[in-house]
Amino acid sequence: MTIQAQVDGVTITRDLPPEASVMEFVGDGRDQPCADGRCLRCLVLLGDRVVHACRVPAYRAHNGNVTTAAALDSRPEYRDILRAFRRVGLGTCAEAHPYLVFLAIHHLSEGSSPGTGETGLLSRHINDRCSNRTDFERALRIAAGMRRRRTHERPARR
Amino acid sequence: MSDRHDDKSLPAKEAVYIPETINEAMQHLRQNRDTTIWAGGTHAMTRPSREGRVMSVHAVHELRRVIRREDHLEIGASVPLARLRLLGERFLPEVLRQALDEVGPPPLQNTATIGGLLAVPETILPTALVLRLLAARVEARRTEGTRWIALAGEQRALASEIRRGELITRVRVPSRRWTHWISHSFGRPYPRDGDSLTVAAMLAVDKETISEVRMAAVYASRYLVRTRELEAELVGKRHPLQSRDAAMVEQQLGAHATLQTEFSELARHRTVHGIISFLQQR
Ligand SMILES: Cc1cc2nc3c(=O)[nH]c(=O)nc-3n(C[C@H](O)[C@H](O)[C@H](O)COP(=O)(O)OP(=O)(O)OC[C@H]3O[C@@H](n4cnc5c(N)ncnc54)[C@H](O)[C@@H]3O)c2cc1C
Ligand code: FES
Repeated sequence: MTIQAQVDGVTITRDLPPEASVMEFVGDGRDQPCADGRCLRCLVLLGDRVVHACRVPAYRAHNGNVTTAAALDSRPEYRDILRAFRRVGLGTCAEAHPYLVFLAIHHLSEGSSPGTGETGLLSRHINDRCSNRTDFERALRIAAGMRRRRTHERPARR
Repeated sequence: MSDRHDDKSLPAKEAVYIPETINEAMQHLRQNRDTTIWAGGTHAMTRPSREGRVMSVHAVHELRRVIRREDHLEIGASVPLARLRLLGERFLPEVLRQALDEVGPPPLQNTATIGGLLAVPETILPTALVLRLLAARVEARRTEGTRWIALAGEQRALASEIRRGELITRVRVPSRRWTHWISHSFGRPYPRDGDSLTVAAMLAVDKETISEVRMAAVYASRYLVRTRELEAELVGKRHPLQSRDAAMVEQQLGAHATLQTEFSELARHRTVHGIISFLQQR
């Protein structure tokens, strides 16, 4: 079936079977998803939600927007996260950076309050060799604080 | 959750059918008996044995509603787990929220649905175990009519009860208050090939006396152990449980046939001692 979507601002059209994943649609150069769906290296934004590209059927992206790790730096709404990561020195290796940023976006988009156990639920999925849970949880708290200050300081536009 | 990216007008011959109402879904099932139903697709898309055309029910409005009634919560089958968790802070039984917290890496919960979780074939996932203990019921519709299935009445996974062409539409969860609860998994319950164990239990205590208790365990996401006789015997006992009563639990639970034949030794030990320490905790 023909699926068309914007991937990082570029329109892509592909013919794929129903069971094809967003990961196949995006064609990020990986041949295979991981066996158990837990490596998290395939995380993307589908619309405004973080999803496993390997576990979402490509048809869900039809006529929609997919944002991959490659385009995250250019999205101003995530700069709090990137700043917090830099402050803590987190995700400095290429392997770690994108999936940790997506996990942080997921966390902040849920509107959860850091420190209530939510951060721990997320940080236990860290699975790379150059990051640790404590730094990640700290970065989440810093990013949430930055976001809170920014949204309180600026009056909402109508 | 925004569905702006979903569009039912897929421009292809072999398009997946994406209904927006239950009526559309039922009509499609009537006309296409070999339809395979998907929701979030997190499990289904990895199964190559798909037959017929796929109908994805993730965008059916009625299936995405959560309604709070006086004595129960009615959850549409296509409600994503992430949304349920958010609601949970105020409305869900705490034990259900605890089970939902544990489901997969959190972003998975943005697309995985409650109906899909219950209908994974041959599998009783931890959240499904908790729903059983909560005496949740599932509404299933086919073109010929509607029926309610009591999860607690099923020994096997719900999927073996659901017939081809039958659509899960709602899950009804009683909103009774429990004073103590636990839902804990050892190992990974998904995919179902491992050695995982989930122990879940809940307790209502009134003036240091147990007024109701429910407890169960699932090994390898498949073998279910629950003894209602023991649950009944515990009613009226003092809480925290005295050592004499704990010995009775150990003996009766330990003698359960499924526990003896299907559980590993470690899983047996963890089940019995997990439940006893739950009953003995303040
Ligand atoms: C990486 C990973 C980790 C996971 N970890 C956990 C975990 O820790 N704990 C846990 O409990 N679960 C876990 N799961 C399982 C997860 O909960 C299920 O994959 C998910 O809930 C299924 O929901 P879905 O909407 O994606 O269903 P789908 O994949 O769309 O469907 C699953 C099954 O349900 C049927 N179905 C779906 N909706 C309906 C309906 N309305 N009517 C009739 N049949 C229907 C489908 O035909 C299919 O057989 C994990 C899954 C993954 C991929
Ligand atoms: S490829 Fe590993 S989680 Fe998706």
